[in-house]
Amino acid sequence: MSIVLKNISKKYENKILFENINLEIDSGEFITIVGKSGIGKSTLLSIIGSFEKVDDGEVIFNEKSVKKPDRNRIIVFQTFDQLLPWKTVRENIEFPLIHTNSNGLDIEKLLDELDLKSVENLYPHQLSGGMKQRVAIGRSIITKPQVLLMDEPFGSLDVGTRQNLQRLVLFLWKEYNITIVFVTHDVSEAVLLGNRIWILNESEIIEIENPIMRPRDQMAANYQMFVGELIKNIK
Amino acid sequence: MKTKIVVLILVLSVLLSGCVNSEEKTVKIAQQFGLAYAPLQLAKELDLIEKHLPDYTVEWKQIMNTATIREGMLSSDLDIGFMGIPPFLIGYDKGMNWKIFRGLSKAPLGLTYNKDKISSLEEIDIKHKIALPQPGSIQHILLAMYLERETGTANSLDDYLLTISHPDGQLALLSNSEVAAHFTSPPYIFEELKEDNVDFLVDGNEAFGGEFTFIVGVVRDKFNNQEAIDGINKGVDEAVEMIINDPGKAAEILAPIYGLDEETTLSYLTWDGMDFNNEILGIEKFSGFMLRNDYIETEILEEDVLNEQ
Amino acid sequence: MNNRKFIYILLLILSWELISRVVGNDQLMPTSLVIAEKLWYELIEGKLWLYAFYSIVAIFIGLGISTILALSISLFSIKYKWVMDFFKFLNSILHPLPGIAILPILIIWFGVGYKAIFALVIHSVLWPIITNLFLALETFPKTLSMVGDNYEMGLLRKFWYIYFPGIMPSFISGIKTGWARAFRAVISAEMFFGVIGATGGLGWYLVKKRVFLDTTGIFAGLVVIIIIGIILERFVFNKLEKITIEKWGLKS
Repeated sequence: MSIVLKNISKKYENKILFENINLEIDSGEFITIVGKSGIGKSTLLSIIGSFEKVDDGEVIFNEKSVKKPDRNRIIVFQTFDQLLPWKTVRENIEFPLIHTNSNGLDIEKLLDELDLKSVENLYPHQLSGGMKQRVAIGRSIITKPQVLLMDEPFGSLDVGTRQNLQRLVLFLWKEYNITIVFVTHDVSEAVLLGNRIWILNESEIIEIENPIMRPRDQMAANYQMFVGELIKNIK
Repeated sequence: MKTKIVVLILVLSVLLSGCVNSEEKTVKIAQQFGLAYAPLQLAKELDLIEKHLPDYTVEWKQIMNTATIREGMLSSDLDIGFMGIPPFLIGYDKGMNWKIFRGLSKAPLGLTYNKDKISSLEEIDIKHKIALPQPGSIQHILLAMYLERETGTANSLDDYLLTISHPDGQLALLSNSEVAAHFTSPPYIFEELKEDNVDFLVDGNEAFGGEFTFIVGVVRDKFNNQEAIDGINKGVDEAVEMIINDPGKAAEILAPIYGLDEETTLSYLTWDGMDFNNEILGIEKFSGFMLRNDYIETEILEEDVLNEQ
Repeated sequence: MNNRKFIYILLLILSWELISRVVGNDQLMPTSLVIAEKLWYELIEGKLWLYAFYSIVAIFIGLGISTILALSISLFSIKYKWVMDFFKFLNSILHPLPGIAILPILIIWFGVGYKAIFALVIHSVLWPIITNLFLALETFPKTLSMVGDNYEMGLLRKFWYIYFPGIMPSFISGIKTGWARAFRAVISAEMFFGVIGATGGLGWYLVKKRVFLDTTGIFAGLVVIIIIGIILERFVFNKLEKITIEKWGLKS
């Protein structure tokens, strides 16, 4: 399994975002995308998920050229409005199962892993931001998709909650062997999560293998040096 | 709080009683639209009533239908009204203190039908409707009188009756609607009869079984001012005379008001069966029928309702 | 009903009673007792409830048709932007027209029966619902729509499972406005034309009472209209809002 972006060009309101770019994602990878705001991180993610049409080039997923979103490339957003307000926590997570006719993961186990067991019958508006994002993540993996596309999912959360969820995502990544593409504006988060990091600059995309061994210690000197090095490269 | 409510009630009762007392030296006359009211219209245009009542302020009020006139007289907002005998009798029966002081006109009312839809009353069924101005109107009562005589039951066609204003009824009769017949009065009836596919099914006199006055003048008891009534009578009589003796001039004055050309107005004013005079015919026959068929509850005699002169 | 409202009602009846006694004319202002008695009589003997039923059925059929129309239009608006633009334009010219003003035209087109009443109700209800639905669609979260795409849901499925529940609050408030407009329109239309023998609606009942100068009967009819309004507002729409909008935390 792999995703290949081939000769992709994309304009947005006459501004060239990408011109003839080529990228590849392998099965089981954890890729983080960083860059200045407005540079096109989210657009790139949308292109990978086929939510956004390209002006030129093609997206190849599982050896096939794809034009429409599908259930194997699930997207998770930053905004809380991605949950269905009229469904409970449990119903939100189960929602994709009904519409894909799949058995999916064991919901009880998943609710436990997400620490949502105690709130399973509450409605989204009764939850904290962190809980809402956990529900969104739960919903996104219940159908065992091959790829998870995460668009700054923790961007609106406080630091403590954010660390919790970072651990959760890493756990799920290993546990369910999912490929993850993760957009963030926080370089430290990118280094913590990704095994490869893409830096989006105006005229280029820099691909870097993450040299820091897991488990990563954000306080360690080499970690912080690497983060500093990356920040210098963001233009 | 309590005093406020008391004050409010006092204010309201003063307001309400305020409209019970009418001012002196004013006469408020209700005017309806229609050919049968022509003398009244003419008197208004030529200030004939004002001429005979120089000390009075004459207020004319254009009213859409008889029910409104009745309500206006009930609230003392109107002193004089003109209407058909049956609506008058219904009001009298319900305890309204009012009297008939004159007749105004006879007119060729009747039930017209659209030949493309039916060919006789027997054909009226669930698909059809007979249009009338309103229940209890002279048109409704005449139809019921006809049916009582012909079928033995006054309300035998009640399930097919539809109430609608004259012009809308005319529209419905001629258009492709369920209205197959229309009990109406001039000028609507004249206009309908001009159409090739419309004809009389029953005319008013046949339905009534004789002659009757279409429109009568009504005065509310509390107004009780013979001087004013005499003045109104003189003015209206003068208008009646003009229509009879010089219909061309009357038509000239009335044509723009009716939105017709002079020639048509003249032909309508002099149409066979249009008869302007102060006769009052048919009160007891109407009241007898209406009592028999529960439109009113008490027997009403002519002497009860005529304003003694 | 809380105690305060109860006191208000009592106060209203009491002042009515007082004023009507001062007036002392049943044709002008019958006392509350006379009205209550009449109401009871009309409900039992005069089949007033049947008239009310008649009007309500007419409104609900019209509401049903309008709902289907409004939802279909919304469905196509999601797919085609121009559909929404077109109906927005239509809405801007037709919405301000009072139902009673277009009644003469409706009579020419649809005759004087139920068809004209339905057309009138649809006109009264459709535009408020559409206004509300469009507003909801325009602010509808893009993320929710993308969730539907992600699971390869077709337009109909997406509409039924995602858009429809999502726009429910606006839909309910549209129906609420529409209902009030339809109720008025139907009663005015029934007062405009009515069937004498067979049962008609509440408006027709009022006309009948009016032409036979039965003032107390008119008040009995008005009381019924008020009661129907209150019942629908309190027990239908408010309930509906409780089990949807409030429960889902969508109250704006």
